[in-house]
Amino acid sequence: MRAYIVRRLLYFIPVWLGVFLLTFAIFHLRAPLTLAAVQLPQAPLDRLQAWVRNNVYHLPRCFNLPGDANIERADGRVHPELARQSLFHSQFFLSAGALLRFDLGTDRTNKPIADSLGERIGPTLSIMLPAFLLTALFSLALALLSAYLKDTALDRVLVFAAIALLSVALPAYIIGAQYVSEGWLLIAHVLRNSAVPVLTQLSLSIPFLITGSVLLEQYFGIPGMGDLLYAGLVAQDFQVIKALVYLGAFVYMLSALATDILYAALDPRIRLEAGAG
Amino acid sequence: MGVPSRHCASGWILNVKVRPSGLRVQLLARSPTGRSSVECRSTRLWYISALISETVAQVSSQELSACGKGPPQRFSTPPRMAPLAAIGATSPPAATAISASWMAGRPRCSVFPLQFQRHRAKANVSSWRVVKYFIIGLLWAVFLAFCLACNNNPYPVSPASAGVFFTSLDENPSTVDPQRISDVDSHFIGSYIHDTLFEFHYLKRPFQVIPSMADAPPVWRWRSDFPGLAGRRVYALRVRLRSDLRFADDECFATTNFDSSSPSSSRGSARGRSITSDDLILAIKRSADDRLEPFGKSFLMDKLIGFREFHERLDGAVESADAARIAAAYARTIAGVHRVDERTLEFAYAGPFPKALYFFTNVSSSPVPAECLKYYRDSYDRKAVASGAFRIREWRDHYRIVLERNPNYRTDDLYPTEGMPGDRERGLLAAAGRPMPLLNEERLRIIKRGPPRWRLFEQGYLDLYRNRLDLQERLMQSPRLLAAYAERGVRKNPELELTVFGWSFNLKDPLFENNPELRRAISLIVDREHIIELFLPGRAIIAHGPVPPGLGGYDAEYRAPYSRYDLDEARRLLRAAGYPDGVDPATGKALEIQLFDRAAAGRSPLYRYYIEQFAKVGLRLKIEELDFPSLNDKMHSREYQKIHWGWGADYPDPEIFLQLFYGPNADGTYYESQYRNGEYDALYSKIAQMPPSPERDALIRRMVARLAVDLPKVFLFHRVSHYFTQRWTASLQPNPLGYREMKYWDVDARGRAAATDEWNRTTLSGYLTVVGGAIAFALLAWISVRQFRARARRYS
Amino acid sequence: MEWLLYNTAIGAGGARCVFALWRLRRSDRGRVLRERLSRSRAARVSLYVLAIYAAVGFVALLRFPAADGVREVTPIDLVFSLVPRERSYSAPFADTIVLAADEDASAPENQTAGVHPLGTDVSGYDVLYGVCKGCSTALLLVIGTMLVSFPLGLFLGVCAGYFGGFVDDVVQWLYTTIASIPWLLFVMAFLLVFGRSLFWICLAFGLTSWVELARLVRGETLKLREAPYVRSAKAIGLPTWRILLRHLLPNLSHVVVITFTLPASAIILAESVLTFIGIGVQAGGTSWGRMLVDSQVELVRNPPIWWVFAGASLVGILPLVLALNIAGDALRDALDPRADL
Repeated sequence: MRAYIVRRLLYFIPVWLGVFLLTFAIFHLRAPLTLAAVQLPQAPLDRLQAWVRNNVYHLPRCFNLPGDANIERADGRVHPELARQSLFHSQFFLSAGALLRFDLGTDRTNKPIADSLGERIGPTLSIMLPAFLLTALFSLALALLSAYLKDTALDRVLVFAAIALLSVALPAYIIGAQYVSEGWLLIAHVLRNSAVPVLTQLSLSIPFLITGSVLLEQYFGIPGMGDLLYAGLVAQDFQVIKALVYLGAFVYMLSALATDILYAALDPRIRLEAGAG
Repeated sequence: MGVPSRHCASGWILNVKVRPSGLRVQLLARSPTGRSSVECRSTRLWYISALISETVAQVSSQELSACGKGPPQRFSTPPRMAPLAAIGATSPPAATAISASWMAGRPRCSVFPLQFQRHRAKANVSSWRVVKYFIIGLLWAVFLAFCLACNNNPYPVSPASAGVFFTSLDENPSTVDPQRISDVDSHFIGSYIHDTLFEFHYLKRPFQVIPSMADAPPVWRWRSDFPGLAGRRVYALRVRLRSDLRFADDECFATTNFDSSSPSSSRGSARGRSITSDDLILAIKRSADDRLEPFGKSFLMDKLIGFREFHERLDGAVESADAARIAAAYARTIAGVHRVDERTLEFAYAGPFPKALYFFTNVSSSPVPAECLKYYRDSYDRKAVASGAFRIREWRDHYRIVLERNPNYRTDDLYPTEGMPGDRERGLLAAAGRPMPLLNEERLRIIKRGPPRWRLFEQGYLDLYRNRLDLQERLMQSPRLLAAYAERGVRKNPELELTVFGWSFNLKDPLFENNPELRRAISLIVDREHIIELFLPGRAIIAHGPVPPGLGGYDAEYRAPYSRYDLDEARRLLRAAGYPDGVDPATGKALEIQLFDRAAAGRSPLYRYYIEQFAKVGLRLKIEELDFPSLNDKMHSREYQKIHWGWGADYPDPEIFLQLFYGPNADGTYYESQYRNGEYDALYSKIAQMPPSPERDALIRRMVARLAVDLPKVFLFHRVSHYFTQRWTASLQPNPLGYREMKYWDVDARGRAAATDEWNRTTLSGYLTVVGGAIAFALLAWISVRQFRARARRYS
Repeated sequence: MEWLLYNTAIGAGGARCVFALWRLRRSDRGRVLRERLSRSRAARVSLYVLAIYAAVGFVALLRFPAADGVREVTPIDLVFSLVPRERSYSAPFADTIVLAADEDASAPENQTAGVHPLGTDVSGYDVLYGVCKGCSTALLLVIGTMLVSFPLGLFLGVCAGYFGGFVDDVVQWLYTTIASIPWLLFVMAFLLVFGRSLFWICLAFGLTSWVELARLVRGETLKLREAPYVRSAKAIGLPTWRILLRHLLPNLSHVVVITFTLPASAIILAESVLTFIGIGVQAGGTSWGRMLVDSQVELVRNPPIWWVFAGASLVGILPLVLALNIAGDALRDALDPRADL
């Protein structure tokens, strides 16, 4: 068992590395000036270049080789001081270093993102935890009921309802339910997530809770993570979105880890295999 | 096999047994005849659903064999209901382990003829129990959720709390530092907590300036003996602060207040100290500090004598980044500001600029205590210490702001005793003579979307609803809604905003630079009346120029030459502009024009209309939506072709709107379109120095006419907005400048509590729905159980 | 000129699809499939519904230059130009447009000129018109996403299953990584950086949805790898690519079909979520999500304007997603080679 857990924990590392590489690829592979143009559409060149400099995009991407210092960077300038910096003074290593230090950066108003996250996690959890628990209860109950009374009227209705619930667009849910009342909104959210009646999918439904929370928080006016995501999107704040991607991936990987360990705990076979292998 | 057909149906009885050791689950299914049974065992609790389906599958295969459709099967492959990919195969090690264990632990079934009939009754009971518990749990969950829905009060305080006002903000304010406030939501909060030398009379129109922190109304006169400016003719103002003014209590004062009774203590009380002239002077100096992006700079630049010199020196010091130099620059006096004593000041202006006076009604002139500035440093945006009627008790970003009465506020700020004719009948003088603020506390919830705001108002949880950007008027006039309003006592107060909205061209863009015909053509292709009727009914009136109604220089009869709808003329102008039928000769395709606008829900049909209209003359319009900070950014950095830009008045003078086209403002924030016209600039300098008068109005009309021909901006609308108030909200007078009103407001808390109770009771239909749903569910369950038992009975 | 080429290409694509389906119908496999599917009436109805949506969406893809030379029109535009356009909102089948308190219901200008089963939106256009236009966006999205995810998923899944070992590890690592980032965040980050046009949306969706397919394909390939015909092909010495292409891929087709329907419905729902949040289809574009977003404000009125919202969700999204789910289930059952009941 222990060996299995250790192996499973070790697997965390390559996946986290993969997540980092993927996120790095998204945010750093594009030409910096193009990125600047996304943030500041139709801005003149000097403003774009200033943006590139402020956001450290003028550094070399991977390694800071001595010859790189004399190349004109994305901000249109040559940066001779780069020659004096270490080999690892590049976008890649700076990002990796920041991540390892848990430094999530600051948003466009220069407020540390870690502070925002700390403030906002409470409100989000206050909605999401009850929703998650209710979802678990509902889905288990529905599954058992459906299986026991198989092929009867109730079973058919439940199966159809499950498919129908999954088929309704989430915004329609949120809008329609909020028109009725807030309590029902929560129920609607839970019902929808319960429509997947397979118990073991519960850990995989966590991402859907994140999706729902963005809309839910808007309509309840809750200053949670979903609101932060929306605000970051509206303001086109790369740092905020990046921080939330890391956080989301981290939470998901933790829940997957928990699920796998739980399986191992309940399954003597896995333990035996791990012991042998 | 020749088995009689009455055995060939379902009706098998499931028996679930959970053995504690190793969590073995066992499912026993017996045929109706009792002749055969299937027993499936698994060591995985997780696979219970799979187990059930496996058993059922086995059962069905047994049925088939019993009915002569084939020999009994022994299942050897995993059933379909639990695909491997779905069973938490979150990582390869887990996936391989799980698949191995699955193969090892898959349900094993044995089929054999049974003689367990005597156990059947017991089997029924034990199988029901598990399912029953879950149903009960489910019902409890629904009941709980239902209870949660019973009381929907979103606040931690009850609506019955007296003296508490509930309202909302659209956005999180960015700052309450008085010199930095520029956006609307910050202005609201800032004006509630800050006090100024003068203010506008709440009820009297046209706007009258009355003393607030000053002890007497303002008296301006020409002088040649201003201290320090001897011999120069200046337009001067002398103000004296009242003696009972104090800042709000704050810990920043503890660093400097020393309690004389206990000299040994190193920290004094946090009691707010009296406001002195120096605090006001600091406010003025800060308005020259570009680091703060001060709102008040343009009020004073080139009007207050010595301000420009001060600003330039400070700028130079800031550029050098030398702290000592900056401190020295701040310490210098401004020539046009003379400190007579600690409560008296004199100001010298170059001329009778209306802006000068209005500066002292604006929150950017609020006094600032230097020690608190030093104490809070970078967080002064949130911690600004003020002297107004309220102060911030709690500010949770993006969530809510709670304001409470400022105990240090002057006690003789009384509700006005007179107003305009008709005010008494409207209830606006009910609180006459009472000391303000009338409220103890105000709770503002930050709600960023319209529908939830409106919903809270309809439930009675908001005392005031300001509708600025959303919810169309026309459909608010539907008969049913009006009847509901009448019944509930909801009042709708129209507010003529002092605003103008339109499309600002970037005159430095090559497309628009020397092409007035193109600009005029664009102005002609939108049917403003149609837009108002369809998209903004009752919410706007057509703008023929930059000055909104209610201000001097506005001519209700005037019709701008290009503010009408004329497609033929537009086409003719396009041809004259060099784009026949909208085709750009350079590319051979339709000319593309880009418009930036602020993102708001529900705009799609309006945008569709614009695109269609442009297409009618052959132009291709591209609309890009931005959030407000980005839009603001674009505007100031002049990076646009055409931008939808609005402007609102901070003080009631037409100059606010006209300054936007004044050439010398080019490097500031109050500038649009990159417009530069000598004649206009000359006229502007003149009217900027004139007090309101018919001559001034005539000059303004000339300026408006000039703009209407040159069209640096397509003027579209002046906005009309509405306040909705509940029946328990005391009458209030909307002020288009919107500020400092909070102290005049009041609520009847008991009425509010009664109403919210009544309006938020779960309605009969709500109960019926739940009960009906429960009944329907029970009915279905009963039918299903009967079907189940009927099957069993049929084959027993 | 380009219109002709474009329309011919689309027409050819559509014809090819129909032809392939026709061939399938006639073939043996098709017959077995039909028999299995015909058992469930729900499945049959779903397939017809899917066919209708596909046809409408497809037809809406054709473009012709309009009379004014600026915009393009689709056959849907042409059809609906025959439907009269009202002045503003009108309820389904109503006689008058939605009126304010002071307006006269009997006045001629307030009467509706035509019959609109789904009502009209604020500009007076029939809601059904909007639904049809949204259909083409949905179709484009689904096709675009599939174009990205299928090749990726198939290729990587087959390689992982067939070659095993290091290749397998790499592919598993790849899809574990992608699956670890919640899809909404991934898509948001992607669209924020690269752009919000339909092309990028398809790419973002495609890059997140190939994982499911790869997993299944990998599983199937692992099993098929040991099949006798593959073994003998290897023994003969056929080149690997030939084995993969000619022998393995055709036997994976049922997996592909099975994993078409569920992601398709997820994509359509996801588009509405994205548009709601603000990074999906932009203002001015047409899609069901866009209709939902733009009409939500109308719902809080009294009486509410519900028909635009209902049209987009109940006539647009719901039947399609429902049909996809039901048909998907039925197809899965029908194509499962193990089922011998």
